[in-house]
Amino acid sequence: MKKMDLRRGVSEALDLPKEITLDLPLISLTGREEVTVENHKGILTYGEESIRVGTKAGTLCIRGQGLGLKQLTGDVLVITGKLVALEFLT
Amino acid sequence: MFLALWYYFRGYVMIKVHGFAAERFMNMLSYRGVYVWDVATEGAGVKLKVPMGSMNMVSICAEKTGCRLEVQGYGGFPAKIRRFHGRQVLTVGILLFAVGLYLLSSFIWVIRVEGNERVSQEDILSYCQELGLKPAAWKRGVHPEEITKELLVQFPDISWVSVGIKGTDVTIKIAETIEKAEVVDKETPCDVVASMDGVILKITAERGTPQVQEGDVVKKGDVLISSEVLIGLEGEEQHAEYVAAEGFVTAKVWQQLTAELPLTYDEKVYTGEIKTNSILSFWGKDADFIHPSLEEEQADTEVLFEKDLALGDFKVPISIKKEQYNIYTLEKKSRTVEEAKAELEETLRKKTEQCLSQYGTIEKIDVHYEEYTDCVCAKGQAELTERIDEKQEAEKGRDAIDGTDGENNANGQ
Repeated sequence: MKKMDLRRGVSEALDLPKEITLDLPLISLTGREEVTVENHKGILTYGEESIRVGTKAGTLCIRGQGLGLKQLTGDVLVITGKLVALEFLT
Repeated sequence: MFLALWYYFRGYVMIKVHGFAAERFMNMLSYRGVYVWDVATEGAGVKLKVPMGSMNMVSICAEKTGCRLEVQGYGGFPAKIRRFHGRQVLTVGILLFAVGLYLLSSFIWVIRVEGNERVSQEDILSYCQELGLKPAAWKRGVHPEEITKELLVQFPDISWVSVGIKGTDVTIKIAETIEKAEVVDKETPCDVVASMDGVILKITAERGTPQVQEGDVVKKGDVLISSEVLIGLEGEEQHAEYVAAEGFVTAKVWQQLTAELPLTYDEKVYTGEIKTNSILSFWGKDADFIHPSLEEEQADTEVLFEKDLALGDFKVPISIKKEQYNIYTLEKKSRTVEEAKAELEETLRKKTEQCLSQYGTIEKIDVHYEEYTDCVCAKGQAELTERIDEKQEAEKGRDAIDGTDGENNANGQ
Protein backbone atom coordinates (compact mmCIF):
# COMPACT_ATOMS: atom_id res chain seq x y z
CA MET A 1 0.00 0.00 0.00
CA LYS A 2 2.90 2.26 0.77
CA LYS A 3 4.42 1.51 -2.59
CA MET A 4 1.15 2.51 -4.24
CA ASP A 5 1.08 5.82 -2.40
CA LEU A 6 4.64 6.54 -3.46
CA ARG A 7 3.76 5.87 -7.08
CA ARG A 8 0.73 8.07 -6.82
CA GLY A 9 2.78 10.86 -5.32
CA VAL A 10 5.44 10.62 -8.00
CA SER A 11 2.99 10.54 -10.89
CA GLU A 12 1.09 13.44 -9.42
CA ALA A 13 4.25 15.44 -8.90
CA LEU A 14 5.56 14.73 -12.37
CA ASP A 15 2.10 14.92 -13.98
CA LEU A 16 2.43 11.45 -15.52
CA PRO A 17 -0.61 9.64 -16.93
CA LYS A 18 -2.06 7.54 -14.11
CA GLU A 19 -3.53 4.83 -16.36
CA ILE A 20 0.07 3.84 -17.12
CA THR A 21 1.86 4.40 -13.88
CA LEU A 22 -0.95 3.14 -11.63
CA ASP A 23 -2.50 0.72 -14.17
CA LEU A 24 -5.88 2.38 -13.70
CA PRO A 25 -8.67 1.94 -16.29
CA LEU A 26 -9.24 4.72 -18.83
CA ILE A 27 -12.94 4.89 -19.59
CA SER A 28 -14.15 6.90 -22.58
CA LEU A 29 -17.78 7.50 -23.42
CA THR A 30 -19.11 8.37 -26.83
CA GLY A 31 -22.51 9.89 -26.21
CA ARG A 32 -24.52 7.20 -24.52
CA GLU A 33 -23.96 4.58 -27.16
CA GLU A 34 -20.38 3.43 -26.81
CA VAL A 35 -17.98 3.00 -23.95
CA THR A 36 -14.31 2.13 -24.31
CA VAL A 37 -12.47 0.67 -21.37
CA GLU A 38 -8.70 0.50 -21.61
CA ASN A 39 -6.55 -1.38 -19.10
CA HIS A 40 -9.34 -3.75 -18.12
CA LYS A 41 -8.76 -6.97 -16.24
CA GLY A 42 -11.34 -9.16 -17.96
CA ILE A 43 -15.09 -9.56 -18.20
CA LEU A 44 -16.81 -10.89 -15.11
CA THR A 45 -20.38 -11.29 -16.32
CA TYR A 46 -21.86 -10.71 -19.70
CA GLY A 47 -25.48 -9.98 -20.60
CA GLU A 48 -27.67 -7.72 -22.69
CA GLU A 49 -28.75 -5.61 -19.71
CA SER A 50 -25.51 -5.43 -17.79
CA ILE A 51 -21.87 -6.18 -18.27
CA ARG A 52 -19.35 -6.33 -15.41
CA VAL A 53 -15.74 -5.57 -16.18
CA GLY A 54 -12.92 -6.08 -13.74
CA THR A 55 -10.51 -3.18 -13.38
CA LYS A 56 -7.76 -2.16 -11.00
CA ALA A 57 -10.09 0.47 -9.57
CA GLY A 58 -12.79 -2.07 -8.80
CA THR A 59 -15.57 -3.87 -10.63
CA LEU A 60 -17.17 -1.64 -13.24
CA CYS A 61 -20.80 -2.43 -13.86
CA ILE A 62 -22.21 -1.08 -17.11
CA ARG A 63 -25.97 -1.17 -17.35
CA GLY A 64 -28.05 -0.45 -20.40
CA GLN A 65 -30.30 -1.91 -23.08
CA GLY A 66 -29.17 -4.20 -25.89
CA LEU A 67 -25.54 -4.16 -24.84
CA GLY A 68 -22.97 -5.91 -26.99
CA LEU A 69 -19.23 -6.34 -27.00
CA LYS A 70 -17.93 -4.73 -30.17
CA GLN A 71 -14.35 -5.74 -29.65
CA LEU A 72 -12.23 -7.39 -27.04
CA THR A 73 -8.45 -7.51 -26.90
CA GLY A 74 -5.98 -7.98 -24.09
CA ASP A 75 -6.27 -4.39 -22.86
CA VAL A 76 -9.11 -2.70 -24.72
CA LEU A 77 -12.78 -3.49 -24.78
CA VAL A 78 -15.54 -1.60 -26.52
CA ILE A 79 -19.17 -1.97 -25.47
CA THR A 80 -22.05 -0.63 -27.56
CA GLY A 81 -25.73 -0.32 -26.81
CA LYS A 82 -27.99 2.17 -25.09
CA LEU A 83 -26.15 3.02 -21.87
CA VAL A 84 -28.01 3.73 -18.66
CA ALA A 85 -25.41 3.66 -15.87
CA LEU A 86 -21.77 3.15 -15.12
CA GLU A 87 -21.13 2.08 -11.56
CA PHE A 88 -18.13 0.93 -9.47
CA LEU A 89 -19.29 -1.88 -7.24
CA THR A 90 -16.41 -2.12 -4.72
CA MET B 1 -11.86 0.07 -36.93
CA PHE B 2 -8.63 -0.74 -38.78
CA LEU B 3 -8.29 -3.91 -36.82
CA ALA B 4 -11.75 -5.00 -37.97
CA LEU B 5 -10.86 -4.14 -41.56
CA TRP B 6 -7.65 -6.10 -41.29
CA TYR B 7 -9.47 -9.14 -39.97
CA TYR B 8 -12.12 -8.75 -42.64
CA PHE B 9 -9.43 -9.25 -45.28
CA ARG B 10 -7.80 -12.04 -43.30
CA GLY B 11 -11.13 -13.80 -42.89
CA TYR B 12 -12.96 -14.65 -39.69
CA VAL B 13 -15.03 -17.39 -38.11
CA MET B 14 -18.43 -16.80 -36.53
CA ILE B 15 -18.79 -19.06 -33.50
CA LYS B 16 -21.32 -19.59 -30.81
CA VAL B 17 -20.42 -20.75 -27.30
CA HIS B 18 -22.77 -22.37 -24.81
CA GLY B 19 -21.92 -22.78 -21.15
CA PHE B 20 -21.78 -20.92 -17.90
CA ALA B 21 -18.24 -19.67 -18.31
CA ALA B 22 -18.57 -17.73 -21.55
CA GLU B 23 -16.98 -14.71 -19.89
CA ARG B 24 -14.02 -16.76 -18.74
CA PHE B 25 -13.69 -18.12 -22.26
CA MET B 26 -13.55 -14.61 -23.69
CA ASN B 27 -11.09 -13.42 -21.08
CA MET B 28 -8.86 -16.34 -21.78
CA LEU B 29 -8.95 -15.63 -25.51
CA SER B 30 -8.13 -11.97 -25.09
CA TYR B 31 -5.42 -12.78 -22.60
CA ARG B 32 -3.82 -15.12 -25.12
CA GLY B 33 -3.89 -12.45 -27.78
CA VAL B 34 -6.88 -13.55 -29.81
CA TYR B 35 -8.90 -10.62 -31.03
CA VAL B 36 -12.61 -11.06 -30.28
CA TRP B 37 -15.28 -8.77 -31.70
CA ASP B 38 -19.01 -8.36 -32.31
CA VAL B 39 -20.01 -10.23 -29.21
CA ALA B 40 -23.77 -10.59 -28.75
CA THR B 41 -25.93 -12.82 -26.65
CA GLU B 42 -28.16 -15.19 -28.51
CA GLY B 43 -30.52 -17.29 -26.50
CA ALA B 44 -28.52 -19.10 -23.87
CA GLY B 45 -25.20 -18.70 -25.63
CA VAL B 46 -22.92 -15.96 -26.87
CA LYS B 47 -22.15 -15.30 -30.51
CA LEU B 48 -18.77 -13.87 -31.42
CA LYS B 49 -16.25 -13.51 -34.19
CA VAL B 50 -12.63 -14.63 -34.08
CA PRO B 51 -9.87 -14.53 -36.71
CA MET B 52 -9.53 -17.43 -39.14
CA GLY B 53 -6.11 -18.60 -37.97
CA SER B 54 -6.95 -18.78 -34.28
CA MET B 55 -9.38 -21.71 -34.28
CA ASN B 56 -6.80 -23.94 -32.58
CA MET B 57 -6.51 -21.61 -29.63
CA VAL B 58 -10.27 -21.11 -29.56
CA SER B 59 -10.95 -24.84 -29.26
CA ILE B 60 -8.28 -25.21 -26.53
CA CYS B 61 -9.82 -22.37 -24.52
CA ALA B 62 -13.31 -23.80 -24.98
CA GLU B 63 -12.15 -27.14 -23.69
CA LYS B 64 -10.39 -25.57 -20.70
CA THR B 65 -13.40 -23.47 -19.69
CA GLY B 66 -15.87 -26.25 -20.37
CA CYS B 67 -17.78 -24.40 -23.06
CA ARG B 68 -19.50 -26.03 -25.97
CA LEU B 69 -18.27 -24.57 -29.27
CA GLU B 70 -20.30 -24.31 -32.40
CA VAL B 71 -18.98 -22.91 -35.68
CA GLN B 72 -21.75 -20.94 -37.36
CA GLY B 73 -20.00 -19.80 -40.49
CA TYR B 74 -17.10 -18.14 -42.17
CA GLY B 75 -16.95 -14.53 -43.16
CA GLY B 76 -14.68 -11.94 -44.63
CA PHE B 77 -12.92 -11.59 -47.91
CA PRO B 78 -11.51 -15.14 -48.29
CA ALA B 79 -14.96 -16.57 -47.69
CA LYS B 80 -16.42 -14.26 -50.33
CA ILE B 81 -13.74 -15.41 -52.79
CA ARG B 82 -14.51 -19.02 -52.01
CA ARG B 83 -18.08 -18.47 -53.15
CA PHE B 84 -16.82 -17.83 -56.66
CA HIS B 85 -14.92 -21.07 -56.67
CA GLY B 86 -15.70 -23.12 -59.76
CA ARG B 87 -17.37 -20.31 -61.68
CA GLN B 88 -15.18 -20.27 -64.80
CA VAL B 89 -17.30 -17.96 -66.91
CA LEU B 90 -17.15 -15.27 -64.25
CA THR B 91 -13.39 -15.63 -63.98
CA VAL B 92 -13.05 -15.42 -67.76
CA GLY B 93 -15.28 -12.36 -67.74
CA ILE B 94 -13.17 -10.62 -65.13
CA LEU B 95 -10.01 -11.45 -67.07
CA LEU B 96 -11.52 -10.25 -70.35
CA PHE B 97 -12.59 -7.04 -68.66
CA ALA B 98 -9.07 -6.44 -67.40
CA VAL B 99 -7.55 -7.21 -70.80
CA GLY B 100 -10.11 -5.00 -72.56
CA LEU B 101 -9.39 -2.15 -70.20
CA TYR B 102 -5.69 -2.50 -70.83
CA LEU B 103 -6.11 -2.68 -74.61
CA LEU B 104 -8.50 0.26 -74.82
CA SER B 105 -6.24 2.37 -72.67
CA SER B 106 -3.29 1.77 -74.98
CA PHE B 107 -4.92 3.71 -77.81
CA ILE B 108 -5.34 7.44 -78.22
CA TRP B 109 -8.96 8.47 -78.23
CA VAL B 110 -9.09 12.22 -77.77
CA ILE B 111 -6.91 14.91 -79.31
CA ARG B 112 -7.21 18.48 -78.11
CA VAL B 113 -5.57 21.57 -79.52
CA GLU B 114 -5.09 24.54 -77.21
CA GLY B 115 -3.82 28.05 -77.78
CA ASN B 116 -4.38 28.32 -81.52
CA GLU B 117 -5.93 31.49 -82.89
CA ARG B 118 -4.79 31.93 -86.44
CA VAL B 119 -3.76 28.39 -87.27
CA SER B 120 -6.95 26.40 -87.63
CA GLN B 121 -7.49 23.31 -85.55
CA GLU B 122 -8.41 21.28 -88.62
CA ASP B 123 -5.06 22.04 -90.28
CA ILE B 124 -3.14 20.95 -87.21
CA LEU B 125 -5.20 17.81 -86.76
CA SER B 126 -4.97 16.80 -90.41
CA TYR B 127 -1.21 17.28 -90.36
CA CYS B 128 -1.02 15.26 -87.14
CA GLN B 129 -2.96 12.54 -88.88
CA GLU B 130 -0.29 12.41 -91.59
CA LEU B 131 2.29 12.02 -88.84
CA GLY B 132 0.33 9.13 -87.34
CA LEU B 133 -1.33 10.94 -84.48
CA LYS B 134 -5.05 10.34 -84.85
CA PRO B 135 -7.88 8.91 -82.79
CA ALA B 136 -7.55 5.14 -82.37
CA ALA B 137 -3.80 5.27 -82.98
CA TRP B 138 -1.58 2.90 -80.99
CA LYS B 139 -0.03 4.89 -78.16
CA ARG B 140 3.40 3.34 -78.53
CA GLY B 141 3.57 4.45 -82.16
CA VAL B 142 3.20 8.14 -81.28
CA HIS B 143 6.39 10.04 -80.64
CA PRO B 144 5.61 13.47 -79.16
CA GLU B 145 9.11 14.88 -79.81
CA GLU B 146 8.93 14.13 -83.53
CA ILE B 147 5.45 15.59 -83.82
CA THR B 148 6.60 18.71 -82.01
CA LYS B 149 9.47 19.15 -84.47
CA GLU B 150 7.35 18.45 -87.54
CA LEU B 151 4.62 20.83 -86.45
CA LEU B 152 7.16 23.62 -85.92
CA VAL B 153 8.56 23.03 -89.40
CA GLN B 154 5.18 22.78 -91.09
CA PHE B 155 3.50 25.82 -89.55
CA PRO B 156 5.66 28.96 -89.53
CA ASP B 157 3.03 30.76 -87.45
CA ILE B 158 3.68 28.47 -84.49
CA SER B 159 6.56 29.39 -82.24
CA TRP B 160 6.21 26.72 -79.55
CA VAL B 161 4.49 23.35 -79.37
CA SER B 162 4.11 20.82 -76.62
CA VAL B 163 2.52 17.46 -77.28
CA GLY B 164 1.50 15.71 -74.09
CA ILE B 165 -0.01 12.27 -73.75
CA LYS B 166 -2.03 11.79 -70.58
CA GLY B 167 -3.93 8.55 -70.41
CA THR B 168 -5.78 8.26 -73.68
CA ASP B 169 -5.84 12.03 -74.29
CA VAL B 170 -3.35 14.00 -76.31
CA THR B 171 -3.12 17.72 -75.67
CA ILE B 172 -1.31 19.82 -78.24
CA LYS B 173 -0.46 23.16 -76.68
CA ILE B 174 0.53 25.87 -79.07
CA ALA B 175 1.97 29.37 -78.81
CA GLU B 176 1.68 31.40 -81.96
CA THR B 177 4.14 33.94 -83.28
CA ILE B 178 3.33 37.63 -83.26
CA GLU B 179 1.27 38.48 -86.30
CA LYS B 180 3.15 40.19 -89.09
CA ALA B 181 1.81 43.56 -90.17
CA GLU B 182 0.02 43.44 -93.50
CA VAL B 183 2.33 44.74 -96.17
CA VAL B 184 0.69 47.13 -98.61
CA ASP B 185 2.39 46.91 -101.92
CA LYS B 186 3.42 50.44 -102.79
CA GLU B 187 6.08 49.48 -105.27
CA THR B 188 4.29 47.77 -108.15
CA PRO B 189 2.61 50.44 -110.26
CA CYS B 190 -1.11 50.05 -110.49
CA ASP B 191 -4.14 52.05 -111.56
CA VAL B 192 -7.44 52.55 -109.85
CA VAL B 193 -10.24 51.61 -112.24
CA ALA B 194 -14.01 51.64 -112.02
CA SER B 195 -15.64 48.45 -110.87
CA MET B 196 -19.00 49.40 -112.36
CA ASP B 197 -20.70 52.05 -114.50
CA GLY B 198 -21.77 55.25 -112.82
CA VAL B 199 -21.48 58.98 -112.31
CA ILE B 200 -18.63 60.13 -110.11
CA LEU B 201 -19.73 61.87 -106.94
CA LYS B 202 -16.43 62.27 -105.19
CA ILE B 203 -12.85 61.37 -105.94
CA THR B 204 -9.97 61.47 -103.47
CA ALA B 205 -6.58 60.37 -104.72
CA GLU B 206 -3.98 59.42 -102.17
CA ARG B 207 -1.36 58.58 -104.76
CA GLY B 208 -1.47 58.94 -108.52
CA THR B 209 -3.13 61.36 -110.90
CA PRO B 210 -6.92 61.62 -110.97
CA GLN B 211 -8.24 61.11 -114.47
CA VAL B 212 -11.89 61.96 -113.90
CA GLN B 213 -13.83 64.73 -112.21
CA GLU B 214 -16.98 64.88 -110.20
CA GLY B 215 -19.97 64.47 -112.48
CA ASP B 216 -18.10 62.44 -115.10
CA VAL B 217 -19.75 59.36 -116.47
CA VAL B 218 -17.52 56.32 -116.26
CA LYS B 219 -17.84 52.83 -117.62
CA LYS B 220 -16.64 49.71 -115.96
CA GLY B 221 -12.91 49.35 -116.39
CA ASP B 222 -12.17 53.06 -116.98
CA VAL B 223 -9.06 54.35 -115.27
CA LEU B 224 -10.04 56.67 -112.42
CA ILE B 225 -6.67 57.35 -110.86
CA SER B 226 -3.67 56.81 -113.07
CA SER B 227 -0.39 55.43 -111.86
CA GLU B 228 1.46 57.93 -113.97
CA VAL B 229 2.67 60.99 -112.12
CA LEU B 230 4.32 63.78 -114.01
CA ILE B 231 7.20 65.39 -112.18
CA GLY B 232 8.34 68.86 -113.05
CA LEU B 233 6.65 72.23 -113.55
CA GLU B 234 4.14 72.73 -116.26
CA GLY B 235 5.58 73.94 -119.48
CA GLU B 236 9.03 72.74 -118.56
CA GLU B 237 10.63 69.43 -119.08
CA GLN B 238 8.54 66.77 -117.42
CA HIS B 239 9.14 63.14 -116.85
CA ALA B 240 6.75 60.48 -115.67
CA GLU B 241 7.08 58.22 -112.70
CA TYR B 242 4.84 55.30 -111.96
CA VAL B 243 3.37 54.72 -108.56
CA ALA B 244 0.86 52.39 -106.97
CA ALA B 245 -2.21 54.56 -107.27
CA GLU B 246 -4.59 54.58 -104.37
CA GLY B 247 -7.72 56.49 -103.64
CA PHE B 248 -11.33 56.57 -102.71
CA VAL B 249 -13.96 57.08 -105.40
CA THR B 250 -17.69 57.16 -104.80
CA ALA B 251 -20.19 57.23 -107.60
CA LYS B 252 -23.88 57.16 -108.24
CA VAL B 253 -24.74 53.86 -109.81
CA TRP B 254 -27.98 52.34 -111.01
CA GLN B 255 -29.18 48.85 -110.71
CA GLN B 256 -32.02 47.20 -112.60
CA LEU B 257 -34.26 44.94 -110.64
CA THR B 258 -37.17 42.75 -111.57
CA ALA B 259 -39.48 40.67 -109.50
CA GLU B 260 -42.74 38.88 -110.00
CA LEU B 261 -45.42 37.74 -107.62
CA PRO B 262 -48.49 35.66 -108.44
CA LEU B 263 -51.81 36.81 -107.03
CA THR B 264 -52.87 33.36 -105.93
CA TYR B 265 -50.63 31.14 -103.96
CA ASP B 266 -50.59 28.07 -101.75
CA GLU B 267 -49.98 28.47 -98.08
CA LYS B 268 -48.88 25.72 -95.75
CA VAL B 269 -51.26 25.32 -92.88
CA TYR B 270 -49.82 23.07 -90.21
CA THR B 271 -52.37 20.72 -88.80
CA GLY B 272 -50.42 20.43 -85.58
CA GLU B 273 -50.04 16.72 -86.12
CA ILE B 274 -46.48 15.61 -85.51
CA LYS B 275 -44.84 12.29 -86.18
CA THR B 276 -41.37 11.41 -85.03
CA ASN B 277 -38.96 8.88 -86.40
CA SER B 278 -35.69 7.54 -85.04
CA ILE B 279 -33.14 6.40 -87.57
CA LEU B 280 -29.99 4.40 -87.08
CA SER B 281 -27.47 4.72 -89.88
CA PHE B 282 -24.50 2.52 -90.66
CA TRP B 283 -21.83 3.83 -93.02
CA GLY B 284 -24.17 6.64 -94.05
CA LYS B 285 -26.99 4.29 -94.97
CA ASP B 286 -30.17 4.67 -93.01
CA ALA B 287 -31.58 1.58 -91.44
CA ASP B 288 -35.07 2.95 -91.07
CA PHE B 289 -36.99 0.00 -89.72
CA ILE B 290 -39.95 1.73 -88.19
CA HIS B 291 -41.08 4.50 -90.44
CA PRO B 292 -44.30 6.31 -89.54
CA SER B 293 -46.88 6.14 -92.27
CA LEU B 294 -47.20 9.40 -94.20
CA GLU B 295 -49.60 8.32 -96.92
CA GLU B 296 -50.87 11.20 -98.99
CA GLU B 297 -49.82 13.60 -96.31
CA GLN B 298 -47.45 16.43 -96.92
CA ALA B 299 -44.93 17.08 -94.25
CA ASP B 300 -41.88 19.17 -93.51
CA THR B 301 -38.99 17.23 -92.11
CA GLU B 302 -37.22 18.72 -89.15
CA VAL B 303 -34.15 17.04 -87.73
CA LEU B 304 -34.41 17.10 -83.96
CA PHE B 305 -30.97 15.77 -83.29
CA GLU B 306 -28.22 13.95 -85.08
CA LYS B 307 -25.34 12.31 -83.33
CA ASP B 308 -22.40 10.33 -84.59
CA LEU B 309 -21.29 7.66 -82.22
CA ALA B 310 -17.65 7.99 -81.28
CA LEU B 311 -15.02 6.54 -79.03
CA GLY B 312 -13.37 9.72 -77.86
CA ASP B 313 -12.59 11.47 -81.14
CA PHE B 314 -12.63 8.24 -83.14
CA LYS B 315 -15.75 8.18 -85.26
CA VAL B 316 -17.61 4.91 -85.36
CA PRO B 317 -19.58 4.70 -88.64
CA ILE B 318 -22.87 4.56 -86.81
CA SER B 319 -25.09 7.53 -86.22
CA ILE B 320 -28.41 8.17 -84.58
CA LYS B 321 -30.88 10.61 -86.03
CA LYS B 322 -34.23 11.72 -84.83
CA GLU B 323 -36.60 13.39 -87.22
CA GLN B 324 -39.91 15.10 -86.77
CA TYR B 325 -42.51 15.43 -89.49
CA ASN B 326 -44.74 18.46 -89.25
CA ILE B 327 -47.79 17.63 -91.31
CA TYR B 328 -49.44 20.41 -93.26
CA THR B 329 -52.15 20.93 -95.83
CA LEU B 330 -51.99 23.37 -98.71
CA GLU B 331 -54.61 26.07 -98.83
CA LYS B 332 -55.29 28.28 -101.81
CA LYS B 333 -55.03 31.93 -100.93
CA SER B 334 -55.06 35.12 -102.91
CA ARG B 335 -53.71 38.58 -102.35
CA THR B 336 -54.87 41.92 -103.66
CA VAL B 337 -52.79 43.95 -106.10
CA GLU B 338 -51.90 46.46 -103.38
CA GLU B 339 -50.62 43.76 -101.09
CA ALA B 340 -48.58 42.29 -103.91
CA LYS B 341 -47.07 45.68 -104.72
CA ALA B 342 -46.06 46.27 -101.12
CA GLU B 343 -44.53 42.86 -100.90
CA LEU B 344 -42.66 43.30 -104.17
CA GLU B 345 -41.19 46.59 -103.07
CA GLU B 346 -39.96 44.97 -99.92
CA THR B 347 -38.30 42.12 -101.83
CA LEU B 348 -36.64 44.55 -104.23
CA ARG B 349 -35.27 46.58 -101.33
CA LYS B 350 -33.91 43.45 -99.72
CA LYS B 351 -32.28 42.36 -102.95
CA THR B 352 -30.58 45.72 -103.31
CA GLU B 353 -29.35 45.67 -99.75
CA GLN B 354 -27.77 42.28 -100.33
CA CYS B 355 -25.78 43.69 -103.28
CA LEU B 356 -24.50 46.69 -101.34
CA SER B 357 -20.91 46.85 -100.13
CA GLN B 358 -20.14 48.17 -96.67
CA TYR B 359 -19.58 51.70 -98.04
CA GLY B 360 -22.73 51.86 -100.13
CA THR B 361 -26.09 53.45 -99.39
CA ILE B 362 -29.41 53.30 -101.18
CA GLU B 363 -30.52 56.70 -102.44
CA LYS B 364 -33.89 55.73 -103.80
CA ILE B 365 -35.72 52.95 -105.57
CA ASP B 366 -38.10 53.68 -108.42
CA VAL B 367 -40.52 50.87 -109.08
CA HIS B 368 -43.22 50.57 -111.66
CA TYR B 369 -45.63 47.72 -111.76
CA GLU B 370 -47.24 45.80 -114.56
CA GLU B 371 -50.48 44.17 -113.55
CA TYR B 372 -51.62 40.98 -115.17
CA THR B 373 -54.64 38.87 -114.39
CA ASP B 374 -52.81 36.37 -112.24
CA CYS B 375 -49.64 38.15 -111.24
CA VAL B 376 -47.90 41.46 -110.70
CA CYS B 377 -44.54 42.25 -112.29
CA ALA B 378 -42.28 44.85 -110.77
CA LYS B 379 -39.45 46.56 -112.61
CA GLY B 380 -37.33 48.81 -110.53
CA GLN B 381 -34.32 50.98 -110.76
CA ALA B 382 -32.31 51.50 -107.63
CA GLU B 383 -30.09 54.48 -107.28
CA LEU B 384 -27.12 53.82 -105.08
CA THR B 385 -24.09 55.62 -103.80
CA GLU B 386 -21.33 53.11 -103.99
CA ARG B 387 -17.60 52.94 -103.75
CA ILE B 388 -16.35 51.93 -107.19
CA ASP B 389 -12.56 52.08 -106.95
CA GLU B 390 -10.73 48.88 -107.76
CA LYS B 391 -7.03 48.28 -108.14
CA GLN B 392 -5.70 46.95 -111.37
CA GLU B 393 -2.09 46.39 -112.21
CA ALA B 394 -0.93 49.01 -114.67
CA GLU B 395 -0.64 47.62 -118.17
CA LYS B 396 2.21 49.95 -118.94
CA GLY B 397 4.30 48.72 -116.04
CA ARG B 398 8.09 48.71 -116.42
CA ASP B 399 8.08 48.83 -120.19
CA ALA B 400 6.32 52.15 -120.02
CA ILE B 401 9.01 53.52 -117.73
CA ASP B 402 11.65 52.42 -120.18
CA GLY B 403 9.63 53.98 -122.95
CA THR B 404 9.43 57.36 -121.22
CA ASP B 405 13.09 57.23 -120.46
CA GLY B 406 13.69 56.82 -124.15
CA GLU B 407 11.38 59.73 -124.85
CA ASN B 408 13.22 61.92 -122.40
CA ASN B 409 16.44 61.03 -124.07
CA ALA B 410 14.96 61.93 -127.42
CA ASN B 411 13.84 65.27 -126.02
CA GLY B 412 17.27 65.85 -124.63
CA GLN B 413 18.87 65.32 -127.96
